[in-house]
Amino acid sequence: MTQHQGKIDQYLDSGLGPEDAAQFEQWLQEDQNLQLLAARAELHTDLRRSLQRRSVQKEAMSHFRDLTSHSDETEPDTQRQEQTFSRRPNTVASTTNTSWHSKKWFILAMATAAILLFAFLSIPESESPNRQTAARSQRIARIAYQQNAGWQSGPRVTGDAVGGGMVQLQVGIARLDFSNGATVTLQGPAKFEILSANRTRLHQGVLTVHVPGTAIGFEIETPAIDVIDLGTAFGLAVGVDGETDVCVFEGEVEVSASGETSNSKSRLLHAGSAVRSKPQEGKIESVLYETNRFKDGWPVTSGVLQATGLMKFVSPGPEFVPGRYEDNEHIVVFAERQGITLDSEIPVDLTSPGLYQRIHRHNEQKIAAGTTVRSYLLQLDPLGTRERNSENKPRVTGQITFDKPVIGLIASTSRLTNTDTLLGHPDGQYKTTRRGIEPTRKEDNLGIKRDAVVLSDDRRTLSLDLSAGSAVDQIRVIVKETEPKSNGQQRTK
Amino acid sequence: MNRDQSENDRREVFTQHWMAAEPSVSAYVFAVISSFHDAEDLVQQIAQEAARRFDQYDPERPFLGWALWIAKSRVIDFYRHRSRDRLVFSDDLLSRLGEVIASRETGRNERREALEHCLDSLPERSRKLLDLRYVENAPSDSIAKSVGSTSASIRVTLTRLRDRLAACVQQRLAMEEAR
Repeated sequence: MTQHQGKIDQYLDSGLGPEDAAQFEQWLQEDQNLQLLAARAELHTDLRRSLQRRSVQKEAMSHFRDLTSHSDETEPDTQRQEQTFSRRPNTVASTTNTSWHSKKWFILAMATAAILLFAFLSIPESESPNRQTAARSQRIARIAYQQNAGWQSGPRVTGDAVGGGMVQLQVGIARLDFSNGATVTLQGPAKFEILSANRTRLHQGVLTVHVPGTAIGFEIETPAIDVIDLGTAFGLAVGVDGETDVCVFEGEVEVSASGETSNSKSRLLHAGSAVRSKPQEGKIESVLYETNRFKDGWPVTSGVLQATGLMKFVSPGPEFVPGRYEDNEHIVVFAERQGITLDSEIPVDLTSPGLYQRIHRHNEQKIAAGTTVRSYLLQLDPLGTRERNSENKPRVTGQITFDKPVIGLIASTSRLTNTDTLLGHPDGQYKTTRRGIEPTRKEDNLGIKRDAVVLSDDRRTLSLDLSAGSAVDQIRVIVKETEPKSNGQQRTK
Repeated sequence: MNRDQSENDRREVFTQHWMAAEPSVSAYVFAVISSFHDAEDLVQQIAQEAARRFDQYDPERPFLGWALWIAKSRVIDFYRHRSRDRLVFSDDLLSRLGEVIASRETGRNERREALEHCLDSLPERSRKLLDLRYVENAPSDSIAKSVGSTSASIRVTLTRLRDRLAACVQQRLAMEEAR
C-alpha cells in the first residue's frame, strides 16, 4: 500500500519524468489505482487548504498581538513587500518568499470563492494579512474620493493611505490617487491589486484611469491583457471569467495578451478604439468603441465628483469634444486640459464665491502665473435655432462639484476665445462668435429668468441656471491643481 | 425588483452548489496539474466559467459532474497552451478520473472535518514538516536541508505522515458511524 502511495505522492508533489509518467499512466488504467490517486489527491488538497488557512489565521493573530502590544509605528518593510507582490518565483529560494506566495494563493483562492459567487461573501481572516502588510508598506496611493463605497475590509476613510495589496470594493465608487499622479476610479464590485507604485492588476470589475505625463508607463494587468499607459486616459472592464475590454479615451496605450503562454506582440491603441481579449487565448480583437459602462467612474477620474440636475458630464472619446458634440437638453461638461502651468497671469471674469448674473462685468481679476490648473467647459448648445424671445426658450439648471477648488470662471466671448489655445481641448473646435453667458438685454422680459451662476463658499460647487437663445452659452471653469512655487518648479513629481 | 430577486436567488443557488463542489473540483485539478500555482489559477477559472455558464446547468443532474466537465476542458486547454509540459492523462483517463472523484462526493465534508481533528492531534514536529511542504511550498530537497536530513528520507516521512492521517480519518469516520 505504502509503495503505491509513495509513487502517487511523488507524482503529486513534484511531477514525474517522461518515462515514469508513461508508466504511471499505464498503472492508472486499473480502476482501483485511479481510486487510490483520487483519494490521495483529495488528501493533498485538503491538507494544503487546511494548513494554509491555519497559517494565515496564526499570522493574523500574531499581527493583532503585535498591534496591540506596540502602539508605535512599525518600520516599513519594503523588501518583504517587494517579495510579497512580485511575480511568482520559479524556484524555491527563500521560505519566507514562497510561504507568502502560498498564502497569497490561498487568499486569492478564497477571495475568488467569494467573488465568483458574486455574493462577495466576506472572509475577513483571509484578507487581514494583506491589509496588515499594506499598512506597513509605503504609501503608494490614497483614497481621494468615495461615493457610497463599501469595502470588503470594512469602512475606509477618504484620505487614507493605500499600500500594496488587494483592494476590494463591493459597491459604490472610489478614486485612488497614486503618488506618481495616476488617478484610478473603481466602480464596485471591483477587485483591484496594487503590485507596486507603477504596476497594478484588475482582477475583476470596471475602472477608469487617467495617467499624466509624470506617470507614463503605468501598467494595469488583467487576467487577459496587460495595458501600459503612454500618457492618457482609458477604461478597463474585466468580467467574472476574466474577459477584458479596453477602451481608450485619450492618447494611446500599449496592450498585449497576458500570461507566460502568450508570445503575441504588443499593439498600440489610439483614442476612440477598443479591444477585447479572453484569458489564455492570447489574441486581442478590436470591438466597437462603447463607453456606457464607464459613465459613472469617468467623471470622477476627470475631477468631477458630482453632476446633478441637467448637468451632464460628456462621454469620453474623440467624438465628444467641444464643437463636435451638441445637446440642447443638458448643460454638457467637457474636461479640457489638465496639468497646465500658467506662464503668465491670465485675466478671468470671476474668482470669488457668490451669486452672479452678469459674470463678465466683474473685470480685472487674474490667476497668477505659475499656478497649475485644469480646465473644463460647460455649455448649453441648442440644436437648431430658437427665437430669442420665444416663450419656449429652454431653461436649464444644474449643479456640479469638482474635486479641486475653482479659481476662475470665464464667460465672455473674447476671454473664452483668448484662452482656447491654452486651456481648450486639443481636439476641440471653438467658434469665435458670441458664446458666453448672455448679458440681460433690454428687449428680454425685464428682470425675469436671467442667467444665474453661484460658486459655493468652498469653491468646489458651481450652480447654473441658464437660458439659451440662439447663441451658445459657455463657461470655462478653471480649477487649481497646485499652488505656484517660488523656485520656478511648478509641478510636484 | 423581481428580476433582482431572481438574480439574487440564482446567485445563492450557485454559491451553495459551488461551495459543496469546490473541494472535489480542486482535488481533480490538483491530481492532474503538477504546479500548485497553476492548479489554483485553474480552479479560479473553472469557478468563473461555471458562474458565467450557470444558465446552461441542468438542475436535474448533479452539479459536481457538470463542474468537473468544465474542469476537464479547462485542463485540456491548459496543456494545449503549454507545450513544454506533457499531460500524463489521456482524454479517456481524465473523464474516468472525473467519474471517480464524483463518486467520492458522499462523505467528502465528513472526511475534511475528520482531517482537521487528525491534524490537531499531530506532534509539533510533524506539523512543521507538513507546513514546510504545503504552506512554504518547499520541495523535499530544501526541506531536507532545513531540517538536516536527506531528500529521500523526507519523501518517505511525508508519505508515512499522510498514510497516518488517512488512517486517522478512516478511524474517526468508522467511530462516528458506530455511534
